[in-house]
Amino acid sequence: MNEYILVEFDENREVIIDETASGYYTGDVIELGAGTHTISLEGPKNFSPLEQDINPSGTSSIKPLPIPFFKDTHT
Amino acid sequence: MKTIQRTSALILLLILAGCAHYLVNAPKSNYEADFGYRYLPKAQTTEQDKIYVVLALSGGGTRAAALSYGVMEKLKATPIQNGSETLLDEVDVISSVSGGSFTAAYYGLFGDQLFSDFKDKFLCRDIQGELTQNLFNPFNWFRLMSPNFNRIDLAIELYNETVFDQKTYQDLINNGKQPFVAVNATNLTTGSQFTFTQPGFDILGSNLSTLPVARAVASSSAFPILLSPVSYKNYPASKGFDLSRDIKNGLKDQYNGPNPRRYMWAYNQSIYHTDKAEHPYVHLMDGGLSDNIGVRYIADNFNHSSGFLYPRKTAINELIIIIANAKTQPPESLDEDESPPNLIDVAYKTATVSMDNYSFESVQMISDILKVSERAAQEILDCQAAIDEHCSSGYKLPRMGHDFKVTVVEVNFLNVEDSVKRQRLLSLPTSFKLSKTQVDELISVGGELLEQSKAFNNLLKRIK
Repeated sequence: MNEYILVEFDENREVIIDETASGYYTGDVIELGAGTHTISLEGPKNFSPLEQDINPSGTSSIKPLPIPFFKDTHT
Repeated sequence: MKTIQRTSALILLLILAGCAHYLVNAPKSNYEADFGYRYLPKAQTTEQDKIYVVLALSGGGTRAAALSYGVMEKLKATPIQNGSETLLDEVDVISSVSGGSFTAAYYGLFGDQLFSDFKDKFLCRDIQGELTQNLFNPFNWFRLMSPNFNRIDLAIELYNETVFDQKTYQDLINNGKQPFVAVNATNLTTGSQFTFTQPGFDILGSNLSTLPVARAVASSSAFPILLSPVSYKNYPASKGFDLSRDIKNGLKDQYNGPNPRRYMWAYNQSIYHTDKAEHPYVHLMDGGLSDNIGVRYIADNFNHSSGFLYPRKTAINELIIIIANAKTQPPESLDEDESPPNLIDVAYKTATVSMDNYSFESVQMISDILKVSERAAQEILDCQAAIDEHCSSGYKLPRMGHDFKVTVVEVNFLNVEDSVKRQRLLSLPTSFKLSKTQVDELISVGGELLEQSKAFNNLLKRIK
């Protein structure tokens, strides 16, 4: 079963999934196998949280799970 | 005096022969992420990934090797992109099992030389007869008395000397070009697929580079009972090695979690790292026991975030899987007798029935997996079109990160139109000995079936 997520961030960054560069970018709908995944962003670590463990369920490509990352204001 | 010397020399020789030992895989003390035979980093291949071709070459002895050869010969004769190259040049990965592994590994090592000498070096040889002849050599009787030297080791020696010219995985690395050849065997303990790549050997704390390719191919084609399993040592973990986060997350979810298939994939690998005391060796047999088509390796690398295909999904425009499936359906007479089948028939059926059923499911599985991904992207486009048509808001849906067309072509004897020819091909034996006429027909039918495939012709219209 596939699940779908949408990683949100102010800049266009490649999304890191389970510590591997995924080829997908922020703002793209991303396809994943079901289960726990660790999500982070490529590039400078000027965001929080630095990584998120997610476990999406019941998503579709039309209704992906939003995963927000926030830019650190002090950087 | 001379007689005593000769006798002593002979006894010494026989004692040494009795101490024969299979070639042990080498340890790797330090882990290096870029070391060894592994798929190229994504950054190196993005442009050429636009047309991504995977060949899956099935098991089935010489029959499968010859059918695979025919399919590859046809791909070589198929120009694409205005004739600047052929479809064979575009093949990125070959995933192979058993008989198909001979053709795959030979092409990986020697490239187009496959088409000039592989027939003589393998397809038209009586490999089976040569293996039997080796068993009648008295010197080998003493070697076979050793608990660490088996019939399969004689086969490995034969393949190594006469087919693969003693080439190792280092030679595959030195070639430095595509396709990436994934030779698949079956782990007897877990029943899961074991693929000969450095990432697989990293878990064993071992260095694949020094391994003769012949040993991998023999592991992939060690048919149960006829040949013995091939053993590999599981060394202490290389310094700096750890399981991937993908595997760790899969294990954390447990079997009763959201993705039991991912858990089993993770578990079957992890025990050779986390429980080395219980698993100091791994014993491999014919890849057909776990997947006689070779597509499950592709499915795993497409589905899992740590797989080499997953991060390429966003770069691919055309994803093409060509399967050379040499499955047969020999005429069956078991139902004619009232008495139950004898032990030999039952043993053969036990080894092959589940393999055949699983093969059909494997082909459907890879097709379903890829088409779900293709459709997910299409659904967003369809939904956006409906919004554009019926709403004035101008709302834009986020786009899918990947957008590729999927083509799955299965070359299968069941698609041969001439019923007499079809029945002849479906009745071919699984062995390492076929006549030249049989080999030539298999090669020719591989190309013909590809040529008559509707999916293949639709693909060619898009990429020619």
